Amino acid sequence: MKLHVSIAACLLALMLAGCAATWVRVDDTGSHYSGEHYSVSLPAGWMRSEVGDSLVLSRDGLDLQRIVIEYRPHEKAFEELEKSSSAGMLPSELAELTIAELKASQEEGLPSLEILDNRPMEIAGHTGYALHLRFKTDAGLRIEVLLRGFVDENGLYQLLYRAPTLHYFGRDREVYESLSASMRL
Amino acid sequence: MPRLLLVFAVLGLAACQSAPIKPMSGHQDTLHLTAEESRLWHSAVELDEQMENADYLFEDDELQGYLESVMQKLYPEYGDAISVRVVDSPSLNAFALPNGSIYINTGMLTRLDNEAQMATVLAHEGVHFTHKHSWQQRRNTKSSTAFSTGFGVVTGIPALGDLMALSSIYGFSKELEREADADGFRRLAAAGYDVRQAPVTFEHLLAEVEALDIDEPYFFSTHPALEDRIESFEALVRQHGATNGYRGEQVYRMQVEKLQLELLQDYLELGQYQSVLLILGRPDAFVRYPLSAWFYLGEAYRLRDEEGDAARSAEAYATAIQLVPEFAPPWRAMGLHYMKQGEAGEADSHFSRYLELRPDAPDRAYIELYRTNLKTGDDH
Repeated sequence: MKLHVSIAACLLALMLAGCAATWVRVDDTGSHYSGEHYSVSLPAGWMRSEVGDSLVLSRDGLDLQRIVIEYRPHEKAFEELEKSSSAGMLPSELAELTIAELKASQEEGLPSLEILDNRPMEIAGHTGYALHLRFKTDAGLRIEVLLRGFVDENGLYQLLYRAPTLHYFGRDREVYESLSASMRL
Repeated sequence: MPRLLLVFAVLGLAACQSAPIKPMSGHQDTLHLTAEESRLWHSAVELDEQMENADYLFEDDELQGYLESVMQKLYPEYGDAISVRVVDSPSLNAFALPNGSIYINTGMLTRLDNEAQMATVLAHEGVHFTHKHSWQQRRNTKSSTAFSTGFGVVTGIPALGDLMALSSIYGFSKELEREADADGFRRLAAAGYDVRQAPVTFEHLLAEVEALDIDEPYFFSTHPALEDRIESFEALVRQHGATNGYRGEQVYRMQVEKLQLELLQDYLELGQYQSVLLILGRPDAFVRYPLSAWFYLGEAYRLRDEEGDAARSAEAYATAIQLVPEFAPPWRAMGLHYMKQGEAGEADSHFSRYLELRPDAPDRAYIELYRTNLKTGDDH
């Protein structure tokens, strides 16, 4: 998946930058992230890393659960498709391009990708899309993904939550919901 | 002693590389494999299981039975030693594994016109198995990993292991591909097919390569180049001299019809509008495809988004509505078109009709939001 690729790129960049600054534990009282393009409340006890204005969060390891928040300028919105986003895009069009971008990335499991839900959603005061996806890895593990996105005049914002269906997806979903609700531009 | 082992090892390898590999002559030969061949065979069985577990296959018993019946005509002496499975992927591809598993993509099936063209593909792949081309490739290739890079891009399936380098996915050497073409052609003729369809199969692939402006990544095109391949098949047809034979158009269309619209949808979902424009740009497109395909043509223009495409897409949607008024998607598409044009009344009436026709529309929430916004004058 594209965001899967983005995470890999983030991790690689962090590794190249040096190990010391890679992961930071969010302290027990919680923490607030405020970047150039957005701000969110972070879950206490989770590990976080950041590259530019993208955040990656996990509690038990990236394979068990991950939350990724990503900002992209319009011209880099859908790189696999070589398509831009724009401030005037309809939320259904954004969802359509997001799904196409995922499928075009040819990542593991995508042939089995199911769209369980696709609806509009208000995020940070903007109308965007909310996707609920499911796929199976080559090893047969079912993974569920919540993916939300919206645009403003600057670019595209996406929030992803991904975890194995078994045990983890349901357990940490509420953390993602809280984080999503806390997002502000 | 270790030095002696090394000498044996070197000699053994040299002997192995020089010994010719004999093609199999039938099902019984699959029971007599060397230890190395057995290992390769079992790896292929594991790959089969992986393909199945990861939901890469298009499961349809009727279609599966049809493909296997064609394979039986081509390779009667092999019984069930050769199996054919359909991969649910829009890319134009087919490949053979060293255990006789042959895979053909839904994308390939929908692009072909008749059974004779499909038989051309299956006959070619069958030769890769019967002539042990994977085994020959392994002997000739010191490192198979070099071939595995970018596998997903070519096949539409993410990488499943180095064994794929020893399948026919990338094409084998020029000699082995020529052998597969020539022996496959003989099988095609012996089974009574119209051999003139063989070069047409490759012409379809060439058209795709040209339309998408890609550097011939499809498996059939690598060794040798597609144009050479077409010429070579035309020469085989001339030598053969026959001007008749079985084409199997109707039966083939009945089998692949169920895949057609789904494939157009798959292309659009992948952002591959060029493929849809190529398929529906053929003069006989709307003889081959249901009239609802006008909607997919409109979607392809909308996604291409070049100058004049908005009008082209609206025209295609309008044609779909006129010809298949009970088909819901073009009503939605026209609604979005009118909404962007600022024609709120037309947009709302088209959305309304869409939801009437499809009360369980998966995008109902979006459409209801747009209708509300049209009433309140909100941009979104």
